[in-house]
Parts: sequence; structure tokens; C-alpha cells
Amino acid sequence: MSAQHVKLVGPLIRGVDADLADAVISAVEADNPDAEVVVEDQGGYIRINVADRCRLTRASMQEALGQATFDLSRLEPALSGFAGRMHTTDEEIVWYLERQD
Amino acid sequence: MPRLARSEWYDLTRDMNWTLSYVSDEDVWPQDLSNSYGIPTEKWWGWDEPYKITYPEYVHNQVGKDASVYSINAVLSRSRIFEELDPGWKSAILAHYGAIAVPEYLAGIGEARMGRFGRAAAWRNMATYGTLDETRHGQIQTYFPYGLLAKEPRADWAHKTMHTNEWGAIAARSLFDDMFTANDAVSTAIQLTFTFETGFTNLQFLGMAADAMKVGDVDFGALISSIQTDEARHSQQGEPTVKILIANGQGEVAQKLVDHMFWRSWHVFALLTGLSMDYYTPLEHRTHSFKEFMEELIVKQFMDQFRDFGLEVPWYWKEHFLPELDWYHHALHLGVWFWRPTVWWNPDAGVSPAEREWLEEKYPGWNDSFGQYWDVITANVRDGHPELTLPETFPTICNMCQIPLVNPAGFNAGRLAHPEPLIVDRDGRRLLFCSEPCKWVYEQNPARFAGQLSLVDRFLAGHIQPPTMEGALAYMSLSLAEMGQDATNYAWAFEKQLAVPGT
Repeated sequence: MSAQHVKLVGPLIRGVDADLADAVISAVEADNPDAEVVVEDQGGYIRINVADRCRLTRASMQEALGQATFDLSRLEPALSGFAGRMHTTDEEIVWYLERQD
Repeated sequence: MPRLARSEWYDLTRDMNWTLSYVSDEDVWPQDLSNSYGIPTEKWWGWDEPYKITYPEYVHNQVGKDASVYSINAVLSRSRIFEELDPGWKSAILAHYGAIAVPEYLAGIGEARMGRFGRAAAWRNMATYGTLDETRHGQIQTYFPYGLLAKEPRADWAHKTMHTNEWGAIAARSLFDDMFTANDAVSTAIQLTFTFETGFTNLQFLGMAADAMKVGDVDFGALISSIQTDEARHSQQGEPTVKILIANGQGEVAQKLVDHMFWRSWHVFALLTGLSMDYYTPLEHRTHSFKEFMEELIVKQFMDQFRDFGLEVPWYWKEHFLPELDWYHHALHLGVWFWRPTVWWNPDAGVSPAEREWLEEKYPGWNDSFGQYWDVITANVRDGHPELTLPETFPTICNMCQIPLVNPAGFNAGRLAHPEPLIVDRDGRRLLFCSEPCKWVYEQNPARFAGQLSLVDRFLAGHIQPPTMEGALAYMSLSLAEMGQDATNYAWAFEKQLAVPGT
């Protein structure tokens, strides 16, 4: 793979869950302050990606949704896919790729 | 009472591995059902799923998913949305239901096998959710078309297809049996969850969901994108299995399992998704071309993920796979349209002047290579001779992918070095293959495929009586009312060329 090949990682949210997608976009922007967030609305799904490493925290989702609690497991009904590998804890989901070439 | 955080109890509740003393490991995990590839039992206990979920979370989520999707269906089934859908799009969803609905139940068998014969408790736990997922997918994708029966009797093929010997059904069964119905648990994790579900289901279930929303088929779009939320989770059984194989010196095994199933999946999905996206979806609603979706979801997204474990692109990537992106599904489309009485949907030719312009833009050279065949077909239709566009003979069928050979079209398009099939003579039997990778898959394990008969093999063996085209259609369970016809009654052949400004 070429050096210019940007590896985008992060969630693909169902198009019918566009409200939640808006919250995910805000949260991903807040959780990855130094990265450019790529949003592609394909109608049926909305790609919300960051190069190499994309963090999404419970705290930012709560903030974006204006809810006191939001368990990250509640994301699943809207999470129709993701790019990259995934690491989950109680407080955050990280999508990532490590290989350098 | 304060609630414990999930991480404080998760490992305890999902991990129960112990050393067997009353029975042998082979008795509990027979190689045929769970190939350890020589890796000792305790090594598998490090299996750790990246996408974690607990049973209460699972149940809570799944109830919500179904409530949402079924309520959309309940409302929309009372509307006239289906009647007003484009005929080509209707064909795409009929093809989808026939090829996918019952295989979802079959995938449930594969998941259940991992749920019992997976080599770590954490894995068996995830596979149990996967079994419930696939049962859901079977139920929901037979229920939605059931609701269409009054409007489209061939929605019946959602249930019927896999119980017939229709050629597409034979090809799909051959793929799915190899991948999960007749596969061991470890290989299933690599071939079904890692290769197929992380890669190709995105193409059909996300790519087609994108098109569905543009077409206005919210029912289908909501359905398949919801299914994909289950897939996104249970497909993650692949990663920890690949990691254990690689960590224990079996990376080559993992690579071979991927190379094998990637190719087979590619061929069947070029047939299903390729035709749906580039010919059946109405032109004004196409999100991307099939090749563009392949590039986004497979060539980039899937391969990035796959290479991250230290696996490499399959050996046939540059020489065979990438070139096929330009021609294979176009050639299949010609064949499916020509042999349209042999499929359960109405193939949409999709070659009106405007559509041809789009094809030429997305696949430069299409007019010179594939357009010339359609010129002849169009002329015959315009001259009032549609019978000249119908088959009288059988195609040659590949003994691996079970899909008719379209090599001459690939050769004429300048993409293949030879128009002939590849031949293997073995045990008194002559086998024909469409491509080097199909031949390679066979040669890796000839015994596995020894009993597999293509439709033409069955014809020659006398299974199809009378041995005529009519006999073959009956063998494929296609009555006159069910046989595919041109989706728009040849309207495309009579559409005028687009006006060229200044002429």
C-alpha cells in the first residue's frame, strides 16, 4: 500500500438513525480534537471516520445527546459497520489500525 | 445499590475454560467439527473478542432493533410504496431474498457449531449471540417478502429458492455449504465471520441500503442495515481466531482459508450485488457503481483491516481479482439476461442510451466491449424478434463457483489471455474452471469437492429429464409464471439516444 494511502477508521451509522449519527459526529469531533473527521452521508449509512485512530467516549456521547447516562453498548442498534479494528471499554470505543505499510 | 461497571464482571461471566479429565479433548472437539490446526487447547483460552456485549445488553438491543424494523414494515406495507418501485429494483430485492433469506438460517447452523465447538468459552459465548442473530435474519427476511406475496407472488422464492436446483441456488448453496453449513468451527470463524461478514456482507447490506434509501425503499433499507448491526458484532469472532492462528505459527493456514473464501464470495457477490447495483437499480438513484462500492468497502476498508493482522492480500489479487472488477459482472449480466427464464426475478437489461452512457463513464471501454453485444440484442428486439435473444442451449459451468463461464466475454474485452476454460482431469472426470483461483481452490482439497455436480454434470448424468431446455427449467422448479422475463418488456430498446447539443 502506498504512503499516500490514508487508512480511515471509525463507525458507519445507519441512515435511519440520523439523529444518533449527529450525536456521534459531535462526540467524535470532541474526542479527536487534532484530527480531521470525515463524514460521508451515503443515505443508507453515514461514514464517520478519522485517519488511523478514532476515539468515541461515553462522556462525549452523553454530552452530545444531552443525556445523563448513555452506555456505549446502546450504540449497537445504529452501528451498521465500522472501518478498522475495535477496542471497547466501559468508557470508550477506539477504532484503530496499526500496520504502517 | 450501586451497579458494577460491566468490565468488573464481564470476564468472570463469559469465561469458563477448564482442563478436561473425564474425556479427551478430541472427544469434545473432534477435528472434523473444530480443526485445532495443531494448536494446544490452553492456547485457545486467550481468545478475546474485541466487540464485547453481555446477555442483558444483547436482549435489550435486539428487542429494540426488531421493534423498530417491524414497525417500519407494518406502516409501509399498508402504503403503495412497493407497487410504485422501479421494476429493476423489485428484481434486485427478489434476487436478494432468494439468495439470502434461507442461507441466514444455514449461517445459524455455522454459528451454532461455533457455539458448541468453538475452542474457548468466550468464543462460544459470542457465537451463541451469532446463532440468535442469524435466526433473526432468517425470520425477518422471510417475513418481509411474505408480506409482499399478494403484490408479487415470486416473493415466495425467499423461502423456495434454496430448496430448488435452480442454478443460482446451486451456486449459492455450494458457496455457503463450503463456508459454514459443512465447515468446522475454526475454519468457519475465518471464512464466514472474518472473510465473508467483515467483507462481502457490507457490500450487499450496506451498499444496497445506500441505494435503497435513494430509491425510496425505506422498508428494505431499514431491514438490511439493521441486520448489518448484528453482523458488525458477530463478525468480530474472526479477529481473535486469526490472532491465535498467527501467534501459534499457523498464519499460513489463516491466509489460505481467507484466499479460498474471498475468491468464492467474490464470484457469487459479483453475480448478486454486481447486477443489482449496475443494471437493476434505477439510474437516477445509483449511489455509486458496483466497482466503486467494491473499492470503498472491500479493496480499502476490508483489506486495511485484514492486513493489520499481518495477513497479505490474496495471491491472485493483482493478476486475477482487480482486473475482474472491470468486466466479470458485466459478462455475468449478459448471461443472466440472456438465460432469463432460468432465474426467479425479471432481469432488467439496464442498457438504455442514458444507462449505457453511465456504464461507459464508470467502466471506460464498456461500449466497445460489452456494448457491441447489446447492439445486436437491441437490433433483434427492435426488429420484432425477441425470440432471437433467448437461449436454446446450456452454458458451460465452472466446477468450483458453479457459475456459468463467461470467459469469452472477458477475452473479447481484452481482460483475459484466453477464452477457454481451465481443464483438470482427475479420477476419470473432466473438470472445467472459469479461473485460476477457482481451480486453485479445488486443487487445495479435491476430496472436499468430489461429490459436487454442476448443473451440466447433472444433465450429462441423466438427472434432468427430459434432457431438454424445458426439462432443465422443470428441474430448476421454474414454472412458466415464475421464469424471468425482461423487467421492462424491452422499453430500454426503444428509448431514443440522448440529444447531443449542437447536432
